[in-house]
Amino acid sequence: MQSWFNAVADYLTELIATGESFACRIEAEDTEAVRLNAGRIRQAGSIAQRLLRLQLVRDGRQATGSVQLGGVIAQDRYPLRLLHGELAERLDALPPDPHLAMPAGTDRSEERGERRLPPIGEVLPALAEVPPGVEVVGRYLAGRIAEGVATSHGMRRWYETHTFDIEVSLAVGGDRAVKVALGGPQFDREELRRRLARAVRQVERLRGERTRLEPGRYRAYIAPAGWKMVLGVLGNRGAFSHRAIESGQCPFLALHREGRRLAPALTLLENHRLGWSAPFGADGYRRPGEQILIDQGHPRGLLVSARSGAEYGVPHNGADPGEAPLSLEIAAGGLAAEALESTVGDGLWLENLHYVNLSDRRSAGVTGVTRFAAFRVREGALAEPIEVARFDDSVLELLGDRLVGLATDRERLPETKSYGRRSLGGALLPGAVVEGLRVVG
Amino acid sequence: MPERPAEAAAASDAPSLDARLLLARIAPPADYVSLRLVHERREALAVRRGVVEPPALLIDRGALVTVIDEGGIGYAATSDLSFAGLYQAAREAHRFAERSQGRAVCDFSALERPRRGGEHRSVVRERWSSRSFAEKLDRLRAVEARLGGDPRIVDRRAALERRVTETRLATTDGVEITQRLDRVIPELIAVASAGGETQTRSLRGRGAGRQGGLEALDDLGFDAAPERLRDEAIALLSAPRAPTGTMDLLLGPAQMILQIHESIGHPLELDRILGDERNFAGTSFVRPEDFGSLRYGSELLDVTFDPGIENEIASYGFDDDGERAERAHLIRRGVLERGLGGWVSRGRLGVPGVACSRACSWNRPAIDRMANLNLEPGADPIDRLVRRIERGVWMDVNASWSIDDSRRGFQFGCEIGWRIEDGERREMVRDPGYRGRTLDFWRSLAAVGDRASVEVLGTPNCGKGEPNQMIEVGHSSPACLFRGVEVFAGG
Repeated sequence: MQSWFNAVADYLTELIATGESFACRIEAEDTEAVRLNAGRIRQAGSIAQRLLRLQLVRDGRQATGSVQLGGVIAQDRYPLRLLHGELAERLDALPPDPHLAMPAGTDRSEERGERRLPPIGEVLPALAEVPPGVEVVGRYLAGRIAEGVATSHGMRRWYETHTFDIEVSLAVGGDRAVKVALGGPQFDREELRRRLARAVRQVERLRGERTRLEPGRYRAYIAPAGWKMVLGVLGNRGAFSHRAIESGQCPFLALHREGRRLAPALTLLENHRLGWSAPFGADGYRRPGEQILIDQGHPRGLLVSARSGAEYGVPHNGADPGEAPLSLEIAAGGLAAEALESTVGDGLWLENLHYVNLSDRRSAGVTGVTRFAAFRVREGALAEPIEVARFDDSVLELLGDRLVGLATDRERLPETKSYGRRSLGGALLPGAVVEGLRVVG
Repeated sequence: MPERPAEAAAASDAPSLDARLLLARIAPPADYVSLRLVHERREALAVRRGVVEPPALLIDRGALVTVIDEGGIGYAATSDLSFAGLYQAAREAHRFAERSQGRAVCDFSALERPRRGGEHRSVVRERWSSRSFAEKLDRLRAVEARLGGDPRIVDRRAALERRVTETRLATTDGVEITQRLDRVIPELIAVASAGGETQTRSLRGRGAGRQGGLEALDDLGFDAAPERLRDEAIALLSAPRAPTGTMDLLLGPAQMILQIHESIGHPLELDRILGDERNFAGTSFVRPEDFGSLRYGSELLDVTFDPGIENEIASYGFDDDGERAERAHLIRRGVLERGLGGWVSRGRLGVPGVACSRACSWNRPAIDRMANLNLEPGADPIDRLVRRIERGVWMDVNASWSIDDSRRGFQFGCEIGWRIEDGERREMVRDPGYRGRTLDFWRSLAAVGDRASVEVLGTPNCGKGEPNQMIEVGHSSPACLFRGVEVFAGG
């Protein structure tokens, strides 16, 4: 596929007129997808797509466009000509763009993962290894993902990986379920077996009578998947975005403008060295290996896209236009796994959260509900499951004065979104015990 | 396998390909094979903080082949529209169908399939091409500039997106469908910030999507809105916080659409009731036996699935599995009658549904979707709704949304509110929010606004399915009055 992409870039280089330059990017996948309900197949198929994004520049003006290609250069020249022609026409009607940015350089690089995925016929039986009465619901996605960047100046960057992505729930009726997420380039059947066995133990506990929580404050352990949801929402709403700071929309504005601090135990970074995403971003810029965003509770850095950098007159750091983390890492804490329940003492154990949304920008307030494995903790041990409960609380406080501790163990959580195409990225997070989580109903 | 000159094949955009002829040539022997060719063109223009953002154009094209054979089902989606590419996709889909034989959620060969073909096109009154690129850009620039003019406005944006989706579906049952949908999605946002407080006002959030052409801009008051949005964002900075307590709640249409969407639309989706979405979007508190008997809301609640509203964003003639779409009551006088489920879910569950198997594009198989889901108007003009309130809040335009897995309980926040006392609208309040339990809430519906208060709205951002799908859904609603709701100020 890389040679095809190079041929596309070469053709675009031939196509552009004098005075024009371009940057282009390919987003391609060959995916096998199986969707299960109650261990049986609801949908199964394959998806092959090759979306080319083109940024065309002339005299400080720019227009962007995308076209779906077939993957055979002889067929793809015509849609490329169409796209170029339309964008070139638009440039005539556009004013100069004061925030224009385009990756420079003529470097060539490639990073390519080996295909080590098992045939789909081996994975599905492994997913079925659950006891009678436990239903497997969810999906398996696997295959090649490729991203490439090229410019008319001669830059050629290529990234290709073969990954799988399992996200299933083990369900015992209604909304009583435990989620298992596992992904990466190497399918490890034993690891899947361990994860399923742990989930089976948890889901068996969910069969019991559920306690309805009274509104109030609870000491709580929130597992890595729960924090991924909370930090994902905050990240998407500008918590680590330079543009959001400048436009007053950052939920962590108080950290940057009012001297607020998170807990000293909290160090949070965007770490592309984890190797879960391409070394270059959506705009084609190289991503920094590691970037500390929160350092022992202090705001240290922000994600700045090339366009924001030009708009606000600050250096950019290769962030994507959304300025949200893609490989979020939180440094491990000191709470050993066997001490987590006793540290909670009397409170809640929450594996997942659901439908988290910003409820108060000023305090980084988020609301959401418990989902999947959620239990009471009593006398330092996991007790009965709880009914779905809604929380609404300030993350500035939960990860600030009310952070009791972070777990020693961390979990690698693959990015499981597949809108439009399969995502890359993920998070490496510990669970955390917090004081006084506000339950509102 | 036969070959065609490669460039000639690719030169044909999906709509110009003859789906029926192609299907005849690529279909493997099976109980059923369908070919869905999709060509979508999107154009997006935006101006932010006085600067024209790079305009974006998307030309998306591809095909999805579905095979049902001996009870199994498989699909293959490909962007390679050459004959060789489609032929290969058909074999791939057949392999997946074979793999699922005896392991599928049902015997797909035994389900009753849609059998009626036809054509459908959006009604477009003011064509996108009737204004040049420069004219559309000038219009946006003029509107965007009027969102500013005050140092407290720290961010502002005016945007316009156009989507044209052309679909050709052919099946080995002899069904042939051609459909073209034109959509327009305008957006206006003003963000005011001062003293650590930030407030946003928008043109009905992300809910101003319409089917049709540029006439939607006038219908939605696009050119008239900027100063009002700017002034309201600024006024909210110093407005008192919304009251807290149990009181009456008047919801405007731009919040009603979210309320309908989350607490009626999603729980009535048959695939959620069947458990298909348990791992992602969630399940539903609604049980199959509830259809025909569950009192979902008060006697005033009438909800329809209506794919025939000309300017509503999710109108269509046929769903993506080829079923002809028709208006139907889902809830009549408060009682649940039918769900949102296409032919597969209806066949599996045995309850009434509608033609709503939809896919976001060629690269996803169809699933149950809500399309246009509307709350039918009542008899009360808006001022009469206000007069009925002794103590309450009027809220509008969704800002925050959260609801549980089974859709039993929700919490929503709005951009703007006004306190109501003794039948009169009083001062503006900021950060209004409310919580409720789905059935209790709809049963507390005390009055429904008249036709004059109805707004036809829609969003392009409904997420569901595995792999994930984002699709357009339409909602029209009048303003509605609810009694005894838990109201609070955000945070």
